[in-house]
Amino acid sequence: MKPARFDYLRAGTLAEAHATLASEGEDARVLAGGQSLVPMLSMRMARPKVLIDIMHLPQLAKIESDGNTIHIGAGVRQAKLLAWPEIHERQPLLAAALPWVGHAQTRSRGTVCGSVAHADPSAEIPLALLALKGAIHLSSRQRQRRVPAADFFTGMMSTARNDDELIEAVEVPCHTPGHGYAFHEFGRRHGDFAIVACAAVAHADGVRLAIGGVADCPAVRDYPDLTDTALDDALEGFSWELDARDDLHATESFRRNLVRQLGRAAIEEARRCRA
Amino acid sequence: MVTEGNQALRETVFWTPPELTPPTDADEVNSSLCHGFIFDFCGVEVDRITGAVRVDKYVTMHDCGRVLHPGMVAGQITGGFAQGVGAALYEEFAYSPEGAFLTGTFVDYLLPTTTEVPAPTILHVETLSPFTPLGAKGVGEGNCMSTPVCLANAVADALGIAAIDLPMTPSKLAAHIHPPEHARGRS
Repeated sequence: MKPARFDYLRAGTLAEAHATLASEGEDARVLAGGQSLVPMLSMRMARPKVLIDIMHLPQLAKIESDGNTIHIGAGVRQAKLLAWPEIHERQPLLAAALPWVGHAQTRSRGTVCGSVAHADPSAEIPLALLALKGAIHLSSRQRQRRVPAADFFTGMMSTARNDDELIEAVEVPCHTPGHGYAFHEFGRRHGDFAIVACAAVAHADGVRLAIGGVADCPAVRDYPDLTDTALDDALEGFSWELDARDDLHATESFRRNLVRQLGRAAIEEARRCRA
Repeated sequence: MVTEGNQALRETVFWTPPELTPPTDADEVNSSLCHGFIFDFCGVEVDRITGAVRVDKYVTMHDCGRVLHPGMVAGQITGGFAQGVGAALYEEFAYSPEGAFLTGTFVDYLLPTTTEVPAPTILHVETLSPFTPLGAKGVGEGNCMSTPVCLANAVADALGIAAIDLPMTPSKLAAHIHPPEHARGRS
């Protein structure tokens, strides 16, 4: 299929993008790398009246870090972040998660913020953002606001973004000395959507585990430094709380088991990597 | 029209092996002059957590008589093998209990890609056919038949079970590996 008719606006300034979002509301969609939105247009799951292309705004194409956080602009492609020389040192979890995002071909077009805006339940970048306590910077003609990842993802492909807002950047905390990270994922084939994805952050007092691909949006739990059966019990509880469902590729029971076992593997690896 | 003096020398010959000359006195037809042979063996690993199958080594040995064009033979075998891997591990015409077709797109009907198809080791033994002038017997996509069976036998052996349904999805295999889940209410 081909997309329904739409107007295309190449935003020359951020103000122009904001003005169109303000006037068109939900009939406007922001186009960045187009790796999720364009297939949605082609399948007519999305039928916006106007697409606002933000990829020609140089101020959005930057990766910046002050040592405490990494600021990733809305125009930054996934491949660019993965190739950023400081990524492994600044945030090992992002470096571990990014190779799981789609394929090299889609990462060369798709953007970091676009994946966050799309909010697929099995997407890796929203999962990593949640595990790392990242935040989303939204702006509209009226105001700017910063939404923690924990409040941003509200359901299957739905977020706290208002219709007149666009994501200007996401903010990810840098590696904290003493923290360890691990990312585990299982899908049917290379590059397929995750059946279960786990992002773990271990610190001195405990561990934080985020799970994607099971519930409608990524979910996270903080645990004290549990071991052995106490950790098994915690993961058993988490696995049931996610309301896993049967589909063609995995039964609900299989998904719960992956949460328990891949989750445990991620936690143990993150602990070993504490540095 | 090319003048007769400029025409290249040419000749057209038709040949039917006597064994294929139809029909016999009993009104029987032999449809195949000779048959190729295959045997396969493989080593696989099944992940205890995910149920994913990894093919460590796959050997497929063929007797297609005289190999006339090695590159084309390798292409046929490799293509048939890739289709066999798909049938064994990924591809399924799935229907819901209500009869709705569930795998109508390539998002749900999974074809193996280059990253899922290991390179098979292809071996040949050439037993020349006495019935064909060059001793060739033919090679097709025979691995479509041998590869699903070979992989299924290997996985069934690894899991210690007698029978297994294709495709061998991780979810299905994991059900053979993991103990039954304790029923538990959602907390």
